[in-house]
Amino acid sequence: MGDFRISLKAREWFSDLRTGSKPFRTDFDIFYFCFMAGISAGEKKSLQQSETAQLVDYFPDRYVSRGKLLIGLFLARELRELGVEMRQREAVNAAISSLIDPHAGNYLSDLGIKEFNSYAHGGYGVLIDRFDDRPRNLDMFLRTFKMHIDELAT
Amino acid sequence: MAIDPKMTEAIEDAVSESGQPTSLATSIVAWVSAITSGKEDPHDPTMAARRADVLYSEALPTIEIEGLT
Amino acid sequence: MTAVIKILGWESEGLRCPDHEVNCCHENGTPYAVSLIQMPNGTGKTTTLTLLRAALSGVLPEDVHAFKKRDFDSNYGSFSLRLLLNELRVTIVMRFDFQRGSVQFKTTRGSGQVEGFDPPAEFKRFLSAEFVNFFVFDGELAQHLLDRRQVHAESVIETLFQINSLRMVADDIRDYWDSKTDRNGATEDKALTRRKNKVAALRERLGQLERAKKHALQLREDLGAEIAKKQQEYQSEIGKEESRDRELTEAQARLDDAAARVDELAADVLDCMRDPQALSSVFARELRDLKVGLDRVKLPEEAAREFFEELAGEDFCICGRPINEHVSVVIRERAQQYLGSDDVSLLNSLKSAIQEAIGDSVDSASNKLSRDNSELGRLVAERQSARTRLKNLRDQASDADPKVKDAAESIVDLERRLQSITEILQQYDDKDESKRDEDTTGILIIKHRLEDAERKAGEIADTLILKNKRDILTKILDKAYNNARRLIIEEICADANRLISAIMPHNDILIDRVDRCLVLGGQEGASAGETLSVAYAFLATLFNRSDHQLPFVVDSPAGPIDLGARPKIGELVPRLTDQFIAFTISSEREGFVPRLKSAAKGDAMFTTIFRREAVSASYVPSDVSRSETRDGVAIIGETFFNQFQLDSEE
Repeated sequence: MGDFRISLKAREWFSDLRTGSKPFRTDFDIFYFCFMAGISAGEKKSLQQSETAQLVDYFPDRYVSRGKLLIGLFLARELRELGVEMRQREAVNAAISSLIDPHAGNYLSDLGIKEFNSYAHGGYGVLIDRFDDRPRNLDMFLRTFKMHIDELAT
Repeated sequence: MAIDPKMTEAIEDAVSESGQPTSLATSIVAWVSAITSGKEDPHDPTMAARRADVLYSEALPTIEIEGLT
Repeated sequence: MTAVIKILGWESEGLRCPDHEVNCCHENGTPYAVSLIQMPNGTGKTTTLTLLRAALSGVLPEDVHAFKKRDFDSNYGSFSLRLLLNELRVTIVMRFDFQRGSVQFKTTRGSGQVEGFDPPAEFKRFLSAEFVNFFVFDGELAQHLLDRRQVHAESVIETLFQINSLRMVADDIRDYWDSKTDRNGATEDKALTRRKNKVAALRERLGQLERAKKHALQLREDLGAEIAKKQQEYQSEIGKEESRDRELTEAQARLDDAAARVDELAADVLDCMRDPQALSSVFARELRDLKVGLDRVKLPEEAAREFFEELAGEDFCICGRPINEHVSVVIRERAQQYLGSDDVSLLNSLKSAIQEAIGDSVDSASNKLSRDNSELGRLVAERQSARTRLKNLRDQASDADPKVKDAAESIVDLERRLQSITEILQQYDDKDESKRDEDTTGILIIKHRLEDAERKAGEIADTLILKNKRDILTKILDKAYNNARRLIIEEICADANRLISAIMPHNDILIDRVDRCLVLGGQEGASAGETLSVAYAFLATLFNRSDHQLPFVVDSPAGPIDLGARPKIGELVPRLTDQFIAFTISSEREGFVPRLKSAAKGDAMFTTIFRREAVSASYVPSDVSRSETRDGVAIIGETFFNQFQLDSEE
């Protein structure tokens, strides 16, 4: 079964948001924002298992209802990456079915979870390039993050 | 055939000379008796392991390993 | 287990001795206590004894042709020995083929006959070429007891009293150690030292980190207390002027309020950003396009792969056309292009989720977020403004009053130090497992490593202790083995010597020790009779001590023994064994046979065997019952036995 995995450095970088009043309730919040940064920029990165920490193998907490949307966004990006157009029915079918697993807790196949995680790892790289400093408080982070996403998402 | 009394004596002497507890001699005598009386096949690995377990647990070591407690 | 061996009888045919049959049992099948077979010299006593030994050991010590009859041209011969082994009837048959020069052994027991010499396993240690010489005995063998080249008396004692069971136990002790470990001692010692060093180093590191953390926690607490105290001082100084105090209070309240509103809205914005379609309308559009695209190309299909796979197994299609094998194969192949029903279900639920989240408007969520974000910016600015106002008021208060200023500066300094301590404390929670022990600051990580190192060191330590115990146990068993041999042999010698003294009170002859063979002390040299008496005494002691019951078969049991000593041998013999079989000649009877019969309480069988041509037909009274073979005569009965006067046929 494929677990979501978070870069250890990303966890360290966001640590202020995971202490004190803990605006980020779980490490999955960190994962999500890294993932969205990676998806926006189209950046993927592979890491060694030793550079990452294991998270859960399902969409937790406040992401239960959002999981399928994230999967959808992921599939759309992957199709774009593969250069598959929606009218190429067989190619779409083949690409999608290789990435999903209806029996998995996170609906992703082994290949799917690998690629999904790589967007998160790539996204962390995008964030540290763009932010002047690690996030110290929530409001500053949210506004800066939104600003960068608006620039990156096309 | 039951264990010869001199064999029992020899076992008890050897255990005593080694400074080991008398219970060890009792267990060795019991094992040898089982073999000599034919109740136990000395080549049965399962029984041999059980008997050896008893002897090893009764024997007192003469070394100490420091620094692990 | 106690071994009981009885000889029930034997039969010889076509061999060098006259063809004959000897039955050692009463009619009810129980063996006689004493069976005496009188055979003149030259009749084949030695041959018969050799055959008995061979049948009891599975080993024929001489060339096969030595057993061929001289006077008859016979190419085959057989010797069969009937035994009772602990209530089990066993027959050993030796078939001689003189043309081939071979002998085949067969063993019959229980259900059938098997090739080869195959007595039950528990008897094999007695029925061996070496051991059999101790109960199938002749004067020559009595001499052999004193010849270290010929015997191994110690090994017979070991076998009889199972002293070597101590060796078996020692082997099992060593096997046990082997099974529990797979290393040798030298590497274990080094490995243990390494492990102990690692444990010590990790303990040291853990101690360091825990002490440092404790110190930092104390420092944080102290700083916190000092900050609180300074703030109190500050408040008290600053509050000394009423209007300034009121302004500061109001400014603080405004700041708190602005901060709270920022926090509240930030939490809402965070939750809103967890919707990808709200984060940017680009994402909303992509999701919508994905759904629309899938709809257009009719993905997922209404029919799932399973439908086609089932259809492939039918005889007719749903349209009514027949499905032959070729069509079935094509359907199966193409079915792989369709999604499984579970995939279909997932894709449909994905599309539904997109429809529900985005609906008809790709912008509404992102527009709301943008509005909230702007509002957040505004509130942050307000908070900043409130903060600046408060700071300015405080600065003014500090400038106006040095005490206020000092307190304010102290607080700033303390808060800076507190921040450093907090950052230091965070490193003790570090979860990075990739660093080396000396660089790792995570206390939990070090604790896990220490537990692991202690466990591994413990395993090695256990191995060393186990090895120590193995050595102790094998040494004890080795000592016990040597002691047991010595004690038993000493006692046997002492007992045998008492018996020798009883048999030969005027001969200065004793067993000094057992060292492979019997070593005599006392007078120089020993006569054949003395040797035989010593042998009897030794064997009597040996067999009486053990619980085993072996037959004693002796050639010329009293021949060389003095007349004076013969009665004592006659009395001694039934004590040696429950079954005594002796081959005698007529001149041995005097002084021996009567005492023997009396000691056996009359339970004795008398057989006389001779060659047909050895005596004239008139020698045997006509009323005496006999059994005749082609070359031998056997007469059972005490009367004829005592009357027979022929020591030698040659």
